[in-house]
Amino acid sequence: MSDDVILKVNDLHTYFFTESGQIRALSGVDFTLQRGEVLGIVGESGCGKSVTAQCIMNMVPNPGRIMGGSINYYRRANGQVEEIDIINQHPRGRVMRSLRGNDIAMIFQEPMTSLDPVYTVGSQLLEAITLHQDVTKVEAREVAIDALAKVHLPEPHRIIDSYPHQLSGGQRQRVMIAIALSCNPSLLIADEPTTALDVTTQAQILDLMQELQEATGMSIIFITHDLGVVAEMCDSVAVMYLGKVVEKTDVDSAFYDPKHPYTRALLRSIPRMDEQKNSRLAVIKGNVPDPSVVPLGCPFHPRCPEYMPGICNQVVPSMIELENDRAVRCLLYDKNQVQTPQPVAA
Amino acid sequence: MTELGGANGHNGRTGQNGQTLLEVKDLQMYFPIRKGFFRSVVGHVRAVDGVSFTIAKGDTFGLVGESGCGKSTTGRCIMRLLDPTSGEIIYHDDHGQATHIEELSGQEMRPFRRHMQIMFQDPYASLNPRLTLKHIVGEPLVINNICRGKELEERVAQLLRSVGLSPEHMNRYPHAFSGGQRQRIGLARALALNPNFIVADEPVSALDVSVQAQVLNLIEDLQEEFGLTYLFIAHNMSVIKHICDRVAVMYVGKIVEVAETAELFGNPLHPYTEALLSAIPQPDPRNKKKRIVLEGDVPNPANPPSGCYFHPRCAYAKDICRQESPALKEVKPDHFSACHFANELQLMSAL
Repeated sequence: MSDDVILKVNDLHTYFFTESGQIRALSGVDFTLQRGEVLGIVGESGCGKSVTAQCIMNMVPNPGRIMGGSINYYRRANGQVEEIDIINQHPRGRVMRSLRGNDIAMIFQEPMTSLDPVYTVGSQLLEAITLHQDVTKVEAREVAIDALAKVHLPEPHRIIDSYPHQLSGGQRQRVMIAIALSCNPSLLIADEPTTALDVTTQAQILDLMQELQEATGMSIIFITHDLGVVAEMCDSVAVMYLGKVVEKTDVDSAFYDPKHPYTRALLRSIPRMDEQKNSRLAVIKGNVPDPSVVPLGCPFHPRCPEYMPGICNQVVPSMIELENDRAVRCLLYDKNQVQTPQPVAA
Repeated sequence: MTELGGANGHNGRTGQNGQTLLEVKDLQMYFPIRKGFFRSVVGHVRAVDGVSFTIAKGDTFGLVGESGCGKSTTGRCIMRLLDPTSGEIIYHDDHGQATHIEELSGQEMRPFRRHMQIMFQDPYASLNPRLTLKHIVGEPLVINNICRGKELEERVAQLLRSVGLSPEHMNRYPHAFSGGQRQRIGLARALALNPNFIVADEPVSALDVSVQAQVLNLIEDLQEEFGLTYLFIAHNMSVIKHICDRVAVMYVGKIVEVAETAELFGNPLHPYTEALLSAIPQPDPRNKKKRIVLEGDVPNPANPPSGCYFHPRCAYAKDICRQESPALKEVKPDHFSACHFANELQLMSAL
């Protein structure tokens, strides 16, 4: 079993030390990613989805620091599996540099800001290829054109010499995917890759990513706030709230049998296509609290419909393993805390 | 400028109480493209190209489409934040008097803005960071000489309460509020003058899902409370389906389909609507239906394709689509579509 694991994140804590105090961006992120699995990380803005991605790449921006926990990446080379402890590597060291791009690649939300406007698409692609592969310039150009063709860009010979501003949003995102996949990574981290795109373009990009995932068998961590995208793309889901993974489950039970009150509330609050007219949306009361003043106990308790006074506001819940590889961070399921573990179904 | 064959269909409909609030007829908004040393006009971006629709009193009329299709420009033309190139915008007030908004001068427009207000998409950009809530929400009241001093404070407090904010926060600045709260402030400002009509330009697209639900519910509650009529502009089809009574789908500056919400989603008559509906990722992993993935990108409105603007991406396109631009016509009672084959195609519904 452990042979199949590509990434293991365990109790990750990352704090930002700002002038106005310590902000706990991540305070307990756990998940395991199998080889070839597509994991969705969902949550509202400020819950730590992107910081998690930055931690895996070991490039947490200043003044952030990883304060605890572990991230283990299992690199497969020459039939052997090598375990790399990411947080103990130097961010600019040799190991991290060989890992980024080669093994773990990343695509970002806004394709306009992640491509450099003063370089052609080709030179940005060639940079990645010549850094990580032992090829001549001419060969690298061939690889680059190949990579552009793989993401279904029309006329890759022309596109390789064009500048980002000459391309549409969807084309730019395809170029980003081509750059990320040019070195055949085993793990792709996609941070809101379709949020800035229109629905019809989003459908194109999602289709492309699905096709490439099937062709290469890579693992994907898909960070998004759109539950519809999760349902279409992912095999499993990690729901985050205020820096913690509150539920980790397969995609079917995430939508049909959610355990954590936050997951349930989130699902009830989205307008659906098949709903009856004039039905009111269920809301989660209040707002996401400021991460510098996280509530005591379970961080969701002030908004939780199943709040248990005296328990939820005092005990910090830990990840509780359920059957079928599921896990939930909620005191309702903690047998030491309550006598009636099963709440009313949503 | 050449007259382009556009949607001239009247697609009129009267609301529950039989009154029309706003009529838009053949609205066009062209932005000039200037080039060279003398800034001579070399072409036009046809942002809105012959749009007609009618909004009934008390209704929520949805305008949906992808970015660049002209939905926001239409909203801004109606508010006269932009001066339309041509077309008519007729507002019917409570006494049955019709006003041609596009003919009003700046001075005449000012008192008229009491009747119609707009709320914007980006809650971080649409509130002045240097004014307190009292000034932001109270500004329309001061400008229109409605009240000041103690009375103003009372009215602002009342407005803040009606959008679910606490009046004690009146002296705070916008930075102290979250995205959802700022959108509530924008709503309070829009409501300050007791308008009849509000253009809501993507009011929830910058918000998180849990907050989006709160704001959508608030928008619905206020409609009931104050008898408002909305023009609701959005790109999210599920939000449109939830809140609108009637929907118009826009593509490259033209309306391609108009119908009642349930009819449009259940029985689309334009291939673009079909593709748009099928492209939305459904939050249901057991229902992974085949998506229609459109080829290519939305055409440039400065240089649109010939004939039907949708034909280069349309799976059903025939020769006539390349040559003739289809007019928006009533295919079924109260269901309008601008497609040559609206009668023949069997299109997939959203459900």
